[in-house]
Amino acid sequence: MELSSPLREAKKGTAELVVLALLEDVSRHGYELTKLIEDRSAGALTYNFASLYATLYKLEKRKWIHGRWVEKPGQRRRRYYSLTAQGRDVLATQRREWRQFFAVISDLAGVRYA
Amino acid sequence: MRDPAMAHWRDLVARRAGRESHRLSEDIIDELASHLAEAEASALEQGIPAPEARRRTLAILNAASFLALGPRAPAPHNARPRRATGLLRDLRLAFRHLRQSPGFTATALMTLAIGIGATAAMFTLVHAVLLASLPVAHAERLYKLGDEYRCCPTETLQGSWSIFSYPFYLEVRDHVPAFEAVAAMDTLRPDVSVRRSGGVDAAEAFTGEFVSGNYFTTLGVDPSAGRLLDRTDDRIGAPPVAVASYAASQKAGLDRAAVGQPLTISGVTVTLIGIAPPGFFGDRLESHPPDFWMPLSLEPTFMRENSLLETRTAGWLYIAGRLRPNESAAGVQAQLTAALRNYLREPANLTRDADRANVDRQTIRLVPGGSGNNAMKRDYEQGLYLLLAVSASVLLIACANLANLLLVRCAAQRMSMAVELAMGASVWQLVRRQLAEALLLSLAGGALGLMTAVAISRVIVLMAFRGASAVPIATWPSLPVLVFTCGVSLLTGALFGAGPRGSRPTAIPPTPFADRRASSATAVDSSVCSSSCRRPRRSS
Repeated sequence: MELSSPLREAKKGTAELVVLALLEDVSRHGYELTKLIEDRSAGALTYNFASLYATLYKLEKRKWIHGRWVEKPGQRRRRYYSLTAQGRDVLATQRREWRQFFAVISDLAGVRYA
Repeated sequence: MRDPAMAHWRDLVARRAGRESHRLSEDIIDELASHLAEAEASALEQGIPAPEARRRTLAILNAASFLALGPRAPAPHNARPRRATGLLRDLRLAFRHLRQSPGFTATALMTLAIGIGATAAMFTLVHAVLLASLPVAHAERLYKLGDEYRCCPTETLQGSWSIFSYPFYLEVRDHVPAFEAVAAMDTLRPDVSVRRSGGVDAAEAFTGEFVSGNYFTTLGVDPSAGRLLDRTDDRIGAPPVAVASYAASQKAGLDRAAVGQPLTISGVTVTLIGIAPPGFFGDRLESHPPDFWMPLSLEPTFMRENSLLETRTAGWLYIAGRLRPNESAAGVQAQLTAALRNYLREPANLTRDADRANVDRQTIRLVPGGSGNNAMKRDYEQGLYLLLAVSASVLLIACANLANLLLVRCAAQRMSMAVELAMGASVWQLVRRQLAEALLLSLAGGALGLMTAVAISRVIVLMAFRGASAVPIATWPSLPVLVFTCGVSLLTGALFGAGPRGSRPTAIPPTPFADRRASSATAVDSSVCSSSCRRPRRSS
């Protein structure tokens, strides 16, 4: 599914929420995050890989996520990211704010879930 | 394990970052390369041919920009050649300018050398006489019993006691535990004649002093050769020994080889057991410091029928002790006063029965003894501070003179400054150069002043201690004197450097440079030579 131009712009603001949400229950590496976003959004949401890592480093600098190198037998070295306690609080806040935002948009524009 | 895919993508990522002038950390390069290698491997797993898998992965890399990933490194072609820092450049320019005016520079340096030299010389003496401690270990814990230095033995009640009998010294040494060690020193310093035993040279006149065996250990002084006196030398009947001061050993030609050899001191043969360290002149500063220290046990041998050692009523010894770390001087002072009164209540310790009624009025004051100069401090304190104030005034006058000189020089240089402004120099640069010149002059003047100070203080000390065999004051600049001189030099530079810029602007005739900077030339002197660092005004 192709995103229209206004939604492509809106997507830029969602990267933090999406990354935090995908790391909520399990540690993941960068490539895994890219694939998950692509698969779960059926290709509607993709992030340039440099942008994704820029987001990861920004979140790590804010101490919302924590990254560490992991080397497993038969696999190449990967850097896994996991959510910190602070990141968990931020995710909860962002979820609440996005919900409120959608409610307002629904009321104003008549957008409803199918 | 070598991973060719990783190596390939790491290389591409690094090159790509280089093209974008980004310096990425090795960690980030590894992570991005790992991502691309995973993408390529995933494509291969889906059955996509290798060239196509690589092309698709390369497209991912090419679509990305690393701008948000790392700080921008300066491009090599943009890097400016290293230039001297501002202050260094100003100092170099100032040096060049001063070299071009040798007359002005020499006059300024001479003025500064005299002004700073006089002030530093006075501070040297103030520091040596009033502020410095004796060259002994932990001088702050040394205390003297009594705050006066008296010339002569006495058998009367002293009120506030300063000199004591030998039996009372033993009482304090053995029964006042607040002291780590207590030493006694003779108030008199007998003149003695000294020559090497068996030698044919004539005897030379020196000054001796009888001290307790623990004198040097109480003060915490180490020998420069041999050993110093210790408690075994205090025993009556111990082998007769003496310690020479460093100055006396130099004067009498007693080197290390003389240690252990016999000397004849005023007809008594003693063994020279050691030499005191240089700079140690005893426990007090006097114009005739002792040359030879001998144990109190030898006092009867030298003084014969005039010996005071066993006399219970005569005060003839100064007593000084080293307090234990946690003891307070006030508490120990009360103990000492009580000990003195108990001592005086014994009938054998008083010469007159009439004094018995006054025993309870006798006291001992415990005063800091680390500076070793209480007598000298009392005598010279006011005079030295007065001289310091006078020399500081001389320095201020020198600053005013130099400020005038700089002002005149500025006026003379207005044309060259106009040229500099016309060439693009800013007013602030010219002001900075003036300050740099003042700084250079004051530092060079300070160095010359230090040499002058050594000479001046040496002359003053020689005059004050006329005829002294050894002067107990070091005129060589110590660290505090060096710091003081450096500070005075910088302050002087700031004073006379700021002086010209604080004066009123003077009218300068128009210069031939009538272009964009011509009007600035008028402002040159009013800015650089007169007031502040404001931008030059342009005339309408």
